[in-house]
Amino acid sequence: MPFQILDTEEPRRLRLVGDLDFQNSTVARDVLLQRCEVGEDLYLDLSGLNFIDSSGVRVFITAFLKLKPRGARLVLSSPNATIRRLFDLLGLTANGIVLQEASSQTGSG
Amino acid sequence: MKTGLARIEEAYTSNFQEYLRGKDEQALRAAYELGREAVREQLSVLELAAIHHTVLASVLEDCGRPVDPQQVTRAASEFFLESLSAFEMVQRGFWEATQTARLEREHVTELRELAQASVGLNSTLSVGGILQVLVDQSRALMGAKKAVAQVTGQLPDAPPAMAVSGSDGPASDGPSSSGAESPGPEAGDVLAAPLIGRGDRIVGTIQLFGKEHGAFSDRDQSILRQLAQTASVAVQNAQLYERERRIAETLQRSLLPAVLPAIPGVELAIRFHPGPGVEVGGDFYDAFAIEAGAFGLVVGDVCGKGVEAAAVTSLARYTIRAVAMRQEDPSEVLKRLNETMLRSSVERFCTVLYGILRVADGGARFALARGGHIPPAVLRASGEVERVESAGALVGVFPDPQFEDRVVDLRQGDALVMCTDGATERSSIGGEQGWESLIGTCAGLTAEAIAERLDEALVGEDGRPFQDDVAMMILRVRPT
Repeated sequence: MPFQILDTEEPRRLRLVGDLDFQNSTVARDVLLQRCEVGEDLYLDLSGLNFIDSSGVRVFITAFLKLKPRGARLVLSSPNATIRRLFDLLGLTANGIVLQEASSQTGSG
Repeated sequence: MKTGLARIEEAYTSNFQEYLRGKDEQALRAAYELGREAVREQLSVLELAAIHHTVLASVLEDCGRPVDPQQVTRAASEFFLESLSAFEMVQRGFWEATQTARLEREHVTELRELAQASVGLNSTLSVGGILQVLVDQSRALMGAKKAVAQVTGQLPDAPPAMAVSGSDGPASDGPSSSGAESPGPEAGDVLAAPLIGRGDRIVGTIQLFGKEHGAFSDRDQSILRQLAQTASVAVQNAQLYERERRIAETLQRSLLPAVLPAIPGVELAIRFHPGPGVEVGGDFYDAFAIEAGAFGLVVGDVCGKGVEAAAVTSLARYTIRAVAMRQEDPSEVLKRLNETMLRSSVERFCTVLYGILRVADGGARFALARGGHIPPAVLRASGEVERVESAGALVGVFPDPQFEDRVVDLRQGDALVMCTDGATERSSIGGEQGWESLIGTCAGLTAEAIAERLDEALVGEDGRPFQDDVAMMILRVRPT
């Protein structure tokens, strides 16, 4: 599935869809980093994300590292089981990246 | 309205009689124009000849005036020839058009054959393979009895190469390997072109010997030159590719231990599959002695590929080795590695599994910490599989990550499997669960046999190449 970043009705919430890998991670990184200039939490809805590789992981880490000194959080929601397991293994959630359960977030577009 | 034939017959009669009377240029031009009209009306030469004969006969039989038959016949033939010249021009035009069409057809065929040869030359990645395509294609294209191509070693580590197609004998067909023989049945019947490398240096030659039919033409020469040019570029690319592959191999080798330590009472097996392409992958492993009876074991994965990833791999591997000699706890080793990577300017991170194996009577104790890496799996002698979970973040990102120390006691016959995500993410495996079920089938096997079975499952039935690097380290406490 082609990778896409979609806007939602909420300005600080984006929806990621498809496979995030080395082929599109540079573009994804640029798009997300633009949204990290502001010191406000950034919400990423991952329910449509099918797969990520290590360069995809790097995109989230880069965004997180840019938001952190601005006092803002990176909030990821509803990853599939494989991606969730990957985040846990990598210790992302234990070290500051916020993971929201599917039930605790508002639906998006 | 009169038909074209009747009109021409009438005009022919009047103009012919005019010519007989005066024999002037104007009447002769009228004959030429008549011929043109006959061509326009699509009359055949035979029809015009018939008109001519009818007119001539009627003139000769004309009893009204005295005629000199000889003079009339000569004049008639002049007039007739003039009327035929339009036909001759048409015929010449037709011949030229045919000739042009033939040349064009030859040109198209030639272009197509050249294009096919180019594809063949460019889809081969070894110098020897390219030369073989070159000799086979040029021999077929030019109809030569034999073709020989050679490349002298231009790059420092590019060996010379040679290829031969056909043979010297009269009943020659198909490639032969008689490259060392003296070439050419006839000294004059040779066509050659140079292979040009970078900086316009001649790096080799292609030679054709003995054309099957006739002699080599200028056209043959230009085709051979074009083929040689295409081959030259392909050869250069192949040499560069080969060199890059060798550099990557050497670099990769330098990142992995040359020799594994002998651990008393413990079997150790390694499998390593580099990913596709010529770039160095990010997976690595290490095994080294810390002190008597204690060994450091490492499996890791640096994000990304290529030279930068290789630099980080090298940094990680030697940092772990250095710190391991002083620190007791694996978590401390990972913390120090994390600090080192954060201090270095590289924008990379890695996952690492580091553990200290201490051998004791009747078993071994493995103390480990996990830096974001896939947890190891313990295979008990009974066949039971345990996943060793622990907290720990990937290394080189967070300023103060927590790494948890875990201890696993291994008894005789117990094994431990560590791997990189290239293994669990391989489609033939079925994720972590699939990987652990597979490990569960290995009870009772030696470390080497376990590695072999896991490897077979990874390669799969179709033998697909690896999309990602895979590193595996398996240890087993020898049963008595």
